[in-house]
Amino acid sequence: MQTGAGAESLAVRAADAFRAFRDGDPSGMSTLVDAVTPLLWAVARQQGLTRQAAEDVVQNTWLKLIEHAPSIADPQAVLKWLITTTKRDAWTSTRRGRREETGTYDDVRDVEPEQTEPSPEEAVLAAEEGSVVWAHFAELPERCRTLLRAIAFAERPDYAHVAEALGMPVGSIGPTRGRCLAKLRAALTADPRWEMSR
Amino acid sequence: MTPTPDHEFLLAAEPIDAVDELVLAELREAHIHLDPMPGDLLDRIKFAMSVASLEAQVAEIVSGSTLASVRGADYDRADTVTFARDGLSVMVTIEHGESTLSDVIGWVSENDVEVELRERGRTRTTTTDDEGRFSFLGVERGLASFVLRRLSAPDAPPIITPAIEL
Repeated sequence: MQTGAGAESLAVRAADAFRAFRDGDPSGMSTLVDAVTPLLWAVARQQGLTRQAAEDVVQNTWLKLIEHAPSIADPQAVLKWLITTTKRDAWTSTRRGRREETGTYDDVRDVEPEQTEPSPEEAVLAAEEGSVVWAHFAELPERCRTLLRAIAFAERPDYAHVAEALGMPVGSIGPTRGRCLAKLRAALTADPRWEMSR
Repeated sequence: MTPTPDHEFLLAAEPIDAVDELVLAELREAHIHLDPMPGDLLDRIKFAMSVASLEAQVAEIVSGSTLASVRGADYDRADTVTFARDGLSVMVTIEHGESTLSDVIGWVSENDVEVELRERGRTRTTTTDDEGRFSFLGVERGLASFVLRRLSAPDAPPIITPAIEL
């Protein structure tokens, strides 16, 4: 079923580019990097990495894809592989970062001043700029923020697939709305500022 | 007004519609605006992937940060990055002079390693000395990555590093 304009599945595009790459045609990979990297960036940052660490983790994910290309049996699984690798490496990287910091007795907040999410002040500012959605997003449980931030950078046919790659239970999103999207939508539709901005 | 849990439960069971798509599109725009991807990230990834080959093993950056330079002084600074893979570690220090050229001084945890410096459109190769040291002098600023080969194991896959900004 066609689910709307521009909703070409990332998973299918990833599979096609990967298959071509493995058969000796690397041209599709560049397009794939453009299409999927914003999603991987969202996953890495939402795991709490600094911008620099997120950049390193995302770059390494792509390099690992090439390294592991011969062992990825099903091209349809490439998008999921990219997401789970980014999430796992981001998790390892935050743990490594904390271990190094504990050695120096620095407060984590001093060492890593960069935020991955808006502060309350920024949220208010963002709301004034018309981004009411940002303010309500910040109120969601962490699990929902992880899911929705990634979903926002995926195409509709990929929602269930992305949720699964993030380790969310089946039915978290797609084809039905799921609890997280329902929460955000309910908060927005109840907020007169959002009604106005539409 | 706060939506009731019942209301939320019913909402959750409905199919995704155009309003949800609008919510997600706004969420995407907000993140692109407030936490954008670094402008050169796609470029770095594509450069690094062009260096990589099917057989290469990818080293990870274990310490140092290539953007640390942004926070330091604009000249005479030195950035150090350490990469590691399969027991082999490489420490690279980039010494920026006042010209556009930098010197790359490195140390590998083993000797007898061939080190290749890949820049855009240019490749140079050297071999570590008895103490694992190597250097590339007068390197143009820009993206670069390293390819390392153990001379004692010529058939083993090379180790490549992620691209860093010199």
